Amino acid sequence: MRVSSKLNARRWLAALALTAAITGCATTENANPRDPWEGYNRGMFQVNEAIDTVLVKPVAISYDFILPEPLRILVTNFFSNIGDVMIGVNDILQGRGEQAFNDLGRVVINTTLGFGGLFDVAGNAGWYKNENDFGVTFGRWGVPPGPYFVLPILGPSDVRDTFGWAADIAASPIDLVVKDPTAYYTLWGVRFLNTRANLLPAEKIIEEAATDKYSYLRDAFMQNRINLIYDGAPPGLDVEDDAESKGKAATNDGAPTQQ
Amino acid sequence: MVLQLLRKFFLALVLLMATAVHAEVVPPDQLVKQITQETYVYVNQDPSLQKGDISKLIEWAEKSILKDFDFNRMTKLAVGKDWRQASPEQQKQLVQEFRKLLIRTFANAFVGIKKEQTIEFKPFKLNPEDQTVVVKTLIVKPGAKPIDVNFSLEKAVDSWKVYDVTMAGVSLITNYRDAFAQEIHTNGVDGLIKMLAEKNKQLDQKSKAS
Repeated sequence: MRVSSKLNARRWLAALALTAAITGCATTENANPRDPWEGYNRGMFQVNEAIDTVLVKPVAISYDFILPEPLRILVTNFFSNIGDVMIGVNDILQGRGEQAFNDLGRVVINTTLGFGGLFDVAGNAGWYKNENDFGVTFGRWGVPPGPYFVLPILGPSDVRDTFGWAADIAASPIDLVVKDPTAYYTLWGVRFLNTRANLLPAEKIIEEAATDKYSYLRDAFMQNRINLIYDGAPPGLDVEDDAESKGKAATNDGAPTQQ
Repeated sequence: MVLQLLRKFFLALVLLMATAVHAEVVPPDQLVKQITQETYVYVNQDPSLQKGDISKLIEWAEKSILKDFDFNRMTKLAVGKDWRQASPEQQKQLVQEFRKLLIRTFANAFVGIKKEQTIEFKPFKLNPEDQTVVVKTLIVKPGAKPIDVNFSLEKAVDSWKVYDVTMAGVSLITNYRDAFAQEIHTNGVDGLIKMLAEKNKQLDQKSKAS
């Protein structure tokens, strides 16, 4: 049952990708070297924007309206706690012992004292949440990001992080524990909606700041990923006046050892 | 009435003290602390700001904290290597338009700061020979992941000036670089000036409408 509906979802995504490829065929000149598929990407970006405008965003706004903020925080905390498990595992895979201790410690504290993760007791005590995933792990192992790649519905990614994302899904406690298809899709659905609702305030900043929303989001995605891989200290931070050296640093953010 | 007079008096006093302090160079981490503190206090004293009324915040910032920002350098950073092909007059216009857009972005980013949010400063050490430094902070909000916000500062004649702000590793300045370069390559420097001016005009109309 679950397998076949997963296949259907995949077919749907493939159809979306095709639509994007058709709408965005024109390739732009002077393209970013990290974005050789800009034609397709811009198309998919537009498809995503359309889906968001007519479907996802209105639902997210209603969700945001119906659910009072304290309850929304509980939902966020619940999924955040599940996410912390794999964040901790990725910490270990990257050899970040102290961070793994913090992140897995969070799971233990929040699952018990925080009533199954509904409350971020650990965070309030100074055990702050970190961000980590398989894409970052691959990056730290030396896998280059490859071309920028806009995923259907999910948005900005690159080749490495798409594989990383697939690994994140496959290894997620939700995938491992929840076997009932209805419960499974409900969980992912609520998680997706909750994440989208949490992004509503940030959206205005981006809408108003961006002269070209596509490239603004793309470049923000790339900067954010490099920052995660280099643990907040990406190379080339001190040579900001020299545009070309910064550009080079940005194009090879594979392994930290390349520094 | 009396209250207003008192408020004016205290403002004058604070200003006096501020100028006295400014007589010697404020260390960069102290400067960032002042900027963020003042903004935090200002945003939280007025409920209309909490609802997102950025025009007031911008007006206030122009009079208080923006002197500590180097918009020339920011524009240069965002335009990158094409900066040199712009004439002095074009450079002036670029700074003027980009400054306007950036201030709005900063205001949008900081207008929603709530009382329960706190700003933590990471350990900072200033070496006497430093010309540029990064002051790292963490904005902590209950029920959300903390966000890294870093301020890059450069030493000017008698003060430090902020020339870059990054949030979660994303520079609010250099994030424009590719879009600007692309515009310059297709429509020249004047094209970029025009694009920024139009964007600002659009935003102005939008705030008037709301």
